[in-house]
Amino acid sequence: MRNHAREHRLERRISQAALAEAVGVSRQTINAIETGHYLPSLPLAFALAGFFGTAIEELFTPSEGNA
Amino acid sequence: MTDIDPVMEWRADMAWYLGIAAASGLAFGLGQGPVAGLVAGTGMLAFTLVLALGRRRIDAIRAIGGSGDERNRALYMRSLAIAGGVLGLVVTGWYLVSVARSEPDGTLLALTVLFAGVFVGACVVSSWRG
Repeated sequence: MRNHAREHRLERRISQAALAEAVGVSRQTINAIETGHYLPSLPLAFALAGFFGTAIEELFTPSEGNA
Repeated sequence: MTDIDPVMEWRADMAWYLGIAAASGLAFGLGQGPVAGLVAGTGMLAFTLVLALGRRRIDAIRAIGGSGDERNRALYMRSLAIAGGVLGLVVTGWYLVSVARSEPDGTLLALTVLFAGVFVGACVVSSWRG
């Protein structure tokens, strides 16, 4: 699964810590999501998409070979 | 992203670890003497203190405590599964070694059966609950 969380965050010029506080997780979790080490739950993915004002499928896209 | 009150969850964690510290101190104090009780209780208290002081800054400590956000809880569950799996293998292997030596250990057998029973039961309940 590929995600565009970092691009969206940098576009809005906010820190990982600020995004983490906004969606109710730790900064390390945001970093793990951005680097692809952690796949968020559906509620968290929706919270991130809601924060960025984008559709969830624009934030997370399947990699080649993934459903 | 959590539906669990983090303050209540944290208090429950601390109560659990303080309970273990008290039980450790009491057990060692009764069986091995007051000094051993003090050492065991203090050791567990120190561990609880590390959890309390480190949880805000250190990700791994949040995972050890089982508190924090969904990722910390996922790490906690994964670590618990690894620890349980290793323990199950070691206890079962140790029991089989005792059987091979013609000295079957009843305690190890009980632990092996308990592990297998809890594991199978947890799988059944988890599958049922989805």
